[in-house]
Amino acid sequence: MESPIEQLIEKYWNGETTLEEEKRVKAHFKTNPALSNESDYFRFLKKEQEIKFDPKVKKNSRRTWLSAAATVAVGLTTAALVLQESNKDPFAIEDPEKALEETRRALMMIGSGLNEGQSYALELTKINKAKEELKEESEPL
Amino acid sequence: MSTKLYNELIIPASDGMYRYALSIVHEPETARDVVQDCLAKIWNIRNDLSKIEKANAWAFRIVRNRCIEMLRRDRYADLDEKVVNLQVSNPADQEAINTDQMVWLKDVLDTLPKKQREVFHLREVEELSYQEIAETCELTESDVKVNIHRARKKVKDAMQKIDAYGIAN
Repeated sequence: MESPIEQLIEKYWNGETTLEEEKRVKAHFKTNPALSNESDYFRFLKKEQEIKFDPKVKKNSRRTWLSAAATVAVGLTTAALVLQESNKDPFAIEDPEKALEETRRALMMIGSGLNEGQSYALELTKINKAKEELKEESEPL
Repeated sequence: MSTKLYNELIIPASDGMYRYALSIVHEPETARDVVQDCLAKIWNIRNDLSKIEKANAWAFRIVRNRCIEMLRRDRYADLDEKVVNLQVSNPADQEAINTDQMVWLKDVLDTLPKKQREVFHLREVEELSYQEIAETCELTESDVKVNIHRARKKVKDAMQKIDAYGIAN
């Protein structure tokens, strides 16, 4: 003759129990834990019921590592680029065509400056000549 | 008033909503997203909460619909992303179960057809009535009963196999 709880457990497996009866079956296994598969089953259900909703988004470790690695990579690249830029002459011209053009312009500027200076020098020579002539003429007096 | 109802009816149901979502999507991150989306959705319509009879089953139904949407979207999602999701899917809850020598049980439950697994979860873990499950899953009450009985029978059969041969399948 089966005990009332055994009958209830059988009813449970046959899918004939009410919610209340099922709660009694669960309570029975909770208070009488045994090393049986049946007991494991009810322990499993209890464990499932203990899972809670955590609204805080837990970052999974893999994603955290990936984002950390990405941050380091971006940082290193930026540092390398900045260092490379700082070693360069800020006025340096990379394009040879442009460099030639700039050099030509600079030489032209110097050339025109020299020409201008030369014209003043010519005028000065004229004045000096006139001065010498005046000096020569005034001496015999 | 509506905020009070939200705090009294919906917030206490959020753990169950999460477990239910997890039982459908099997991915803690996705399940968390589902519940957060649903809570936001319910908050926006909190003024209508007084009209709802069974808030639990109603909230579960919203979770179910959102899960289905997520799964449909995932089907078309980038394959790489799916692979990443699979690799990171190792929730602490599952670890606890595995270390508890209940692997056989998880294996059996994983072989249940989706509908059976869902109905089984709502009855055994969330302890809903047949009527509430029927409303949540859009089934008839007798369908619910049949599915629960079949799921329990599979668990029982697996137990008997283990007792007889030491293996579940």
